[in-house]
Amino acid sequence: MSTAHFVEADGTDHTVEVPDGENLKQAAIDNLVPGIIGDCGGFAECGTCHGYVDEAYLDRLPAQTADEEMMLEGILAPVEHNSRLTCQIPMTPQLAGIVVRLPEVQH
Amino acid sequence: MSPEGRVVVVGAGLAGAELAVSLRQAGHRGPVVLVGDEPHQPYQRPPLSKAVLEGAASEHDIRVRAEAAYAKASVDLVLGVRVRSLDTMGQTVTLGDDTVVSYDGLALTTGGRPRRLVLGEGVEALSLYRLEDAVQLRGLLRPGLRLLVVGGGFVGLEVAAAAVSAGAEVTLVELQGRLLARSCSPVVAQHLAAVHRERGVDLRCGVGVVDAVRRDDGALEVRLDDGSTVVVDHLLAGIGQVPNDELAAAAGLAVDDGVLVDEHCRTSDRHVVAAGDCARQHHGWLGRRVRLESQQNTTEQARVAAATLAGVMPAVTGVPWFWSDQYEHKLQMAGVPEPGDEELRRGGRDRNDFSVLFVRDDILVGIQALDRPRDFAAARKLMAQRARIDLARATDPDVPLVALVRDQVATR
Repeated sequence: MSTAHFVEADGTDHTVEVPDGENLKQAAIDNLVPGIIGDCGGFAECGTCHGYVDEAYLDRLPAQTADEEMMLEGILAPVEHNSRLTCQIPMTPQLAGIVVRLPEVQH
Repeated sequence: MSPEGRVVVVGAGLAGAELAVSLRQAGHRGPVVLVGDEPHQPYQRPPLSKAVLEGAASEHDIRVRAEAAYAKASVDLVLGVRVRSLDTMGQTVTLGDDTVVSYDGLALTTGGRPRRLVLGEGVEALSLYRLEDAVQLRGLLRPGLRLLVVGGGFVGLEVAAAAVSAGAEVTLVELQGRLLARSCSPVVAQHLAAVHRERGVDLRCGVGVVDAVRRDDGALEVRLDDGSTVVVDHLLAGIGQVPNDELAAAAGLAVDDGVLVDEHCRTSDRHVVAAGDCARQHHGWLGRRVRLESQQNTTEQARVAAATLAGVMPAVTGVPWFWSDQYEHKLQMAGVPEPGDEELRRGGRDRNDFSVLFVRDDILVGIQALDRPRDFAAARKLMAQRARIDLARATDPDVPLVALVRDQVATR
């Protein structure tokens, strides 16, 4: 178990405990965090679990797959260098305390 | 309905689970009871014919939410129980064990069931709809297994892909002259047919099944309508889904191959909404009545129906989209093309990835993107904008489709 913070666009913070190996999208869904949709069920198909990952954790994340990279390109919300699809990030002890800021809109 | 009223949700698949939790997010405070006839926690069906069949995902992996999430949302899960009848006058449902539950608001999320295929004396084809189906089929798949798949739709093709990848010998028959005749451009269907044949699927279009006999050695001898016979170990049908609308029909709700709902997911009874595969909706974005079977449609309708029950700002459904994974290929589709739509191909002639754009009056109304998620993502934006597009630019391989989205934003 490691802690993750999801911060809604309005600043509301949700602190959740995530089992190692669980992806962050599912952790958010399991904990009723609003602002993450995950329409496709976690297969990098829909781009509705987009979040901005805190700088300090960026180099500890798994590399983006081609699928994720392409889905991110198609998102209308501003895509930044720290934009990720949270379904593609499994929790690890190295990511304990990770902060993910959520965009105002998914899609 | 008052925010303190009791909501009963009938059907604990993705639609029911999403609807129940969305009620809380829409501010509903009263009791929410989610009743389902399957013994499992609500799970997602798309992975059944993909990751579950390949052994890459377990029951845990395909859950909609963790069990604790329902408790946290104060959703009372009643699993393994059928709803036997609905009384819209008395506002009650009767469960299989004769328990009567009253409601202030009711949601029908009863899903569908696979159309059965029975051939000859007691030979019934396997189907793939429930978790047990996928687990059973996965247990059967092995090198050398002979499998006949009836139906060249998404389920049939995904099963064929998983089975051939597991070393099985697969024959697939499709009654129509081509694959995906109801849902896809001929260009896409032709491409996928070639992919399946390359992988070794014996693909036969324009061919139906006549009957089958089980031989003494356990094998099935299946006679086809072109006069030929195939001998296989198992037979699986992917020939469409029937909506579970009988409960609604028996209660006197308006039904026509699905429970009829308006764009806010309201049925003909003002206390009852319906969402997901069981619902035939007057679709907000499409502007016509359709029954869609997809993950995205289900989750979106569930949220719309929850908002309607909770009495918050009316919500409507947006651009419908779908996907299918076959081998390493990803087909992503948006919109529901109609006969007469102009079809434009985007992508290099010699390359394996391409998109088909569907255009009506210069407006992009659909896309079928094969291994082109960028096109898909951009097309959904263009479709939501209902913007006229520059067809020359849309098909220019040097212009990313997302540039057309920017055109729209710039000219607004």
